[in-house]
Amino acid sequence: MNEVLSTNHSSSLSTMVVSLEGEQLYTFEYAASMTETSITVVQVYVELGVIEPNGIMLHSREITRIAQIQRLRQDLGLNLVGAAIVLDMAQELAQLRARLKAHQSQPTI
Amino acid sequence: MNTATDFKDYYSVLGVSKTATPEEIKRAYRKIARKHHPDLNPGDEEAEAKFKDLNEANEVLSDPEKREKYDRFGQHWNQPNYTQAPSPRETNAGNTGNGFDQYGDFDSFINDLLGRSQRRASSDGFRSQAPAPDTEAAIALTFSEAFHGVQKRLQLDTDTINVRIPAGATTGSRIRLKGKGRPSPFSQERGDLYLTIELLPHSFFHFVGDRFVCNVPIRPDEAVLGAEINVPTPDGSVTMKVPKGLQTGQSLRLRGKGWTLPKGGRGDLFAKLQIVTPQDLNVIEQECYEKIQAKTSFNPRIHLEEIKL
Repeated sequence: MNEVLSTNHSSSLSTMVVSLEGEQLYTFEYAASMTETSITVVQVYVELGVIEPNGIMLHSREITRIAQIQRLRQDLGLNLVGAAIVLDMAQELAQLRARLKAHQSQPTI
Repeated sequence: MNTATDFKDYYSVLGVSKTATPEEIKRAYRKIARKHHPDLNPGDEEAEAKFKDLNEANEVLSDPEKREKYDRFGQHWNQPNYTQAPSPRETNAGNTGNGFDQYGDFDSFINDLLGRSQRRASSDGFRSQAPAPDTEAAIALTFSEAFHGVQKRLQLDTDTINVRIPAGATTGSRIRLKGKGRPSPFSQERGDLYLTIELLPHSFFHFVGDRFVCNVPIRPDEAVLGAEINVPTPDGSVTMKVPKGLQTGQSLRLRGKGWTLPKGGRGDLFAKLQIVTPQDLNVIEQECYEKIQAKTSFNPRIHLEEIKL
């Protein structure tokens, strides 16, 4: 999980980095521009463990998470760790609700 | 007058009075946003709509200039001849006029006020280019479907998604469907769909943790003397050797007769044996059990004799 695993050189200058599972990974710089933050902010997020890097790169899921945390901070006035905890709980809740629904929508056993 | 129904009362959206202070507005916004925030209510369209209205209300009422315009507009909107109504603030009345008649409806007034272009008003302006969050869903499978693998149709809101579930899924297995999640309320892009597998109970097989288990009844004589018995497995019945002296509750392992493994191959099946006593004895059985009882030297309670409190 900890290294960047393979590098594909496409035609010219651009380099695409993918994880072991073949998923595209992104630089902190790219994540910062997508989320309208800064590299420093992304680094702080990594240091505090609210997002998980893949080596020195990020999966798109983590970029989503940065944006979500930013929204929760801005909209609800949560702090960084609070926003991260709330997101984890919301995900768990969504998962449990989906599982409950799957059981309830089953007419027979 | 029919357009008057388009008017949105932002004060009631926030649940504050018309004289609310900026602090009160901020508090009210945060309190309601906690409940309806889309990042905390993924896939909840009602919450999403409420959050949108809430944000709009907050955007207008938290800005003194916009709030004042909104107050004037709202006042006039409710009057039959609103174009002629006097402005509450004399100073502003001179240069701007009321000018509200230039708006066909409330939405165009608000879009103008918030500096949004006409038709892009539906998506919330803020917000980044970040990829959409993932969506959680679950599906219940029978043991047979999960064991063999199955093609399923999944209903997610209005979309029907075909999904192939590979053999060997168990309760809690997760399947990722790339780009099949709900569109994000912020970017309208789709994230991934994560499907959690649930297994419906089976009458004979079940899981204890990772162990694939079944309960098999045996007779007292089979437990004492050992026997060969037939046990159901996912592929049908197999013969299993029961060693002599078997205790009730002991499990025997049937190698390679269990669940399909994710990496291929098969796990083991654990047959948990339960001694059951016959209820209707024939003459010979009766005689034999009596004989055993009369002659046995086995006392399973010998170590209980000294026990007391």
